[in-house]
Amino acid sequence: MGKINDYFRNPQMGEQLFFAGYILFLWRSVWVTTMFPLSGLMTMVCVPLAALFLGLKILLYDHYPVKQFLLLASALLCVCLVFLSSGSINPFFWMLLVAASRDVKFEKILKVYLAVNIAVIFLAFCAAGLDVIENLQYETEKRGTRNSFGIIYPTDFGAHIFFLFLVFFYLKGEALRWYHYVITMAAAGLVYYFCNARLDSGCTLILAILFAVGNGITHARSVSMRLKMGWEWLWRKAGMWVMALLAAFSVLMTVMYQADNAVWQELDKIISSRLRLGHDGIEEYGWTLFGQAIKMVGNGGSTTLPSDYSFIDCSYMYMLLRHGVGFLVLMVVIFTICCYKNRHDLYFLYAVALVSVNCVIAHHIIQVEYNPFALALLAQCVRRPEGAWSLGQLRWRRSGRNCVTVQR
Amino acid sequence: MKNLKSIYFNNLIQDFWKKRKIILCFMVVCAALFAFLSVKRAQTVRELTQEQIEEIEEYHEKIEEYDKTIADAEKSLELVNQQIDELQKYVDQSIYMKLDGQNIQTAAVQYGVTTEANVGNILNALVLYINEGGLKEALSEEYPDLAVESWREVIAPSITANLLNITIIHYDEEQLKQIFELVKTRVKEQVPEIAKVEGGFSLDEIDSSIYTKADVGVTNNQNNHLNNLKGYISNRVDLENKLISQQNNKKNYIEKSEPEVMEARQIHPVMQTIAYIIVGMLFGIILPALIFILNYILSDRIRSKEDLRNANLNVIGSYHEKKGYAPALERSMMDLEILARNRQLSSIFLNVMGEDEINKKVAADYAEAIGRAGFQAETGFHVYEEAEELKKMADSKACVLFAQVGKNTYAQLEQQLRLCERFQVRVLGCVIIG
Repeated sequence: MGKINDYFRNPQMGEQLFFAGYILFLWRSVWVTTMFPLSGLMTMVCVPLAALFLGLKILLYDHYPVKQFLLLASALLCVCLVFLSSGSINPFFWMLLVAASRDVKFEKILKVYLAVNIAVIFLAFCAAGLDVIENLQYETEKRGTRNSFGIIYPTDFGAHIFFLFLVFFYLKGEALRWYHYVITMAAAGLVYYFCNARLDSGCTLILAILFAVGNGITHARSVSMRLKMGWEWLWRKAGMWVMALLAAFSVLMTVMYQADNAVWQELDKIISSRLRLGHDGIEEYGWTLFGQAIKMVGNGGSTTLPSDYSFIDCSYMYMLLRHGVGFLVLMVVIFTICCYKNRHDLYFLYAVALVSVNCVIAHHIIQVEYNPFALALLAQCVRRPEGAWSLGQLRWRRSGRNCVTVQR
Repeated sequence: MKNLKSIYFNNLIQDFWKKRKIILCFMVVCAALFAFLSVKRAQTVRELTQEQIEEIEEYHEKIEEYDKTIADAEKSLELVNQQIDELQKYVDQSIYMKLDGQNIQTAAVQYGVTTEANVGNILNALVLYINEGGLKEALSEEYPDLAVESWREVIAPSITANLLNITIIHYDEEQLKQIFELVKTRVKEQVPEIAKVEGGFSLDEIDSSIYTKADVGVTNNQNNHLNNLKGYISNRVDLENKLISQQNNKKNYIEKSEPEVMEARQIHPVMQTIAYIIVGMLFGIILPALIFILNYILSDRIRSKEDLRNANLNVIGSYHEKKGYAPALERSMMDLEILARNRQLSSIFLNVMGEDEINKKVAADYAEAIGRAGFQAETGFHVYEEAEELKKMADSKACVLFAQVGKNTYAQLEQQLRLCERFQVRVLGCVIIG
C-alpha cells in the first residue's frame, strides 16, 4: 500500500504517464499523414490507450487551484459539447493533451515532438524515394509537378517541414547561428521547387528572417538600446494578440466576400478559393455554438482529385463552422493565455505569430502532429522570466556577480 | 541560459554503439520482414490470372461506355448552349421582339417606276438592294442605336405592277422616322447605280405615311420565339442532369468496381527486393534510435560523466566497478589538492548521494586519499535530510559531490548544488560512479 502511495506521490510517474500517452498519440497522428498503410488495430490500440494514460495523469497526479480547475472543467465541458454536437473527437483530444501537460517541461514535449516527427517523416521520405510507398505526384498546368515525398499531400509535407523548423528554432533561440538561417532558407526554396507549397515555403522563409532579425536586434551589441527595448516592448504588448486579430480578420474577410466582385475574385484566386469556400460554408451551414457535422471533401491520399471538393482550409473558419463559435473562442483564448504566460519569451511570441499567419490559409491549428504550441498553456516554460531565480543562470555562468561555485 | 541537461549527440551515439549487437539483430529482422513484403507485393503485380484480366477488360469497357455517354452529353450541351445564347440575344436585342402587337409604329412609302427598259428587273434590283444589298452598308457604325442588324425583319418591300411599296415597323416612333428617312435617301441614291445596268428609269415617290397599327401575327411570332427559347433551356437542364448523373454513375462504379490490380507491372524483382530491404534496414536503425533519443529526453537519471562535462560541471574523476578509477585516483587527487590549497582549505566534505556499497567504497577511498594529502575529510550520505551532516558540510566550506550513473537524477544533483549555493559551500567537483 505504501509503495502504491509512493507511486502516486512521485511526480516523475505523472510525467511518464503523460509522455506515454503523448508519444502514442503523436506517433499515430504523424503516421496517418504518411502514405504508410495504417492498420485499424493501430488506431484501436493507440488512441484509447493514449486517452487512458493522459486521463490517469490528470486524475492521479494533477492538482489545480479552484479558479484554474473551474476554467479547465469549463473547457473540457465545451469540447464534450462539441463532440456531441459535431461528432468530432479532435478538439477533445487536443484539450486532453493541453490539460494533461500540466507541470511537464515544455522543452521535453517539443524535443519528443521533434524526435517522433523527424523519425516518421524521414522513413516516409526514404520509402517514397525507393518506391516502397507511393510518392504522390500532382501534375498541374500552372504550378508544374508537385511531390508529396511519402506524405498524403504536397502541402502537408510543406507544413511538416515548416513546423519542424519552427520548433527547432524555438528551442535553439539565442543559440541560432548563421548556418541555421541559411539551411532553413534553402529548405524553403526546396519545398517551393519540389512541392510548390507556397504558404509553407513562404512561412519557412519568414521564420528564418524573423528569428534572424529578432536575434540581431536583441543580441547584437551594435544595435541601440532604444531599438532593442522598442522591439521587445512591441512583441510583449502586441505579440499575444496576433492570433486573435488574424482570427477576426479571417472571419470578417470570409463573411464580406462577394463572389461577383472582381477585386474579391482576384484575392480569392491568390489564396486558392479559401474565401469562396468559407463563404459558401457559412451560407450553406451557418454558425452554431458547438459545431455541426459537415462533410469535408479534400485532396490527399490519392492523385485522383475529387470532383466535389469542399474543404475549408482556413483554420479559423474551419473551427468556426465545424466546431462552433464556442470552441473557436476557447482556442484563441488558450493561445492568447499561452502567449501571456510566455510574454517574457520573445521566441514563443514569434512562433505563435507565425503559426497564426500559417493557419489563416492552412487547417493545422489543433493538430498536435503539426502545431504543439498550445501545450505550453499548463506546461513549464522553456525560458524563465528575467529576474526570476534561475538555476542555470546562477550556476553555470563563469563570471559576473552571480558567480559559479563549481570550479573547473 | 544553459540547461543542466540536454541531449549530447556524441554521448548518444556512443551509447547507441554499445548496443550495436541488439540493434543489428533488430535491423536484420526488419530487413527480412520487408523482403517478405516485397515478394508478396511482386507476386500480386507481376502476373495476372485469367479472371483478373477479364475483370479489368470489363472494367475498361464500362468506363469507356460512361466516357462516351458523358462526351455525347457534353457535345449536345455545348450545341444547346450556343443556340440558347443566339436566341437569347435575338430576344433581348431585336426590334421585332420589342414590338407591342397592339401598338406598332408603321411607316409606308410607295414609288412608281417610269422606264422603257424592263420594269420587273429594275424593281427586283431595288428589292434586292433593300433586303440583301447595300441598304444597311456602314450604318451600324454611324447609327449604333438603330439596331441595323435586325432591320431585315422590320423593313418589308413589295412589288405591284410598276409600283414599289416599302413598309417599316418599329416600337419607337422617333427611331422609326429616322430609319424611314434613311431608307428613302439610300433608295434614291441607288437609282443611278441600277440605271447603269438596267437602262434609264425614274423613281418617283407617290405617297408616304406614318401611322400606328395592331397585328396579332406579330404577337404570335414573338410567342413562338419565346417558346423556342424555353424549350432549349428545358433541354439544357435535362442534358445537365444527364451529365451529372453519368458522372456520378462513373464515380460510383470506379469506387465499387475498380480492380485491385489494374495491370501487370514490369518490375525488377531483385531491385524491388533491394529497395524493400533498404527501407527495412532504415526502420531497423531509426526505431531503436528513436527509442534511445526518447529515453535520453525523458529519463531524468544521470547518464554519463560526458553529459555533466558538457554541462560545464567539473568532473574530477569517475569509478566503474570493472574498470576502476578513470583517471587514476592519484591524478584526481592532484586536481583536488590544487583546488583546496588555492582556497586555503583545511577540510573537504564528501557529499555522497546514496548509501550503496559502491558509493561507500569510493567515498572511503577518496577520504583516505584526502587524509594522506594532509586535509581533513568528512563524509555525508544524507546531507539534504540530516542537519548534522549539513552542519559539517557548511563548516568545511567546500565539498565534492558523488553521483551514481543510472541511479541519481539530475533533479537530485540540482538540489544538492542549490543547497551548497545556499550555505555558501564551494563545490570543488564531481565524482561519477558506475
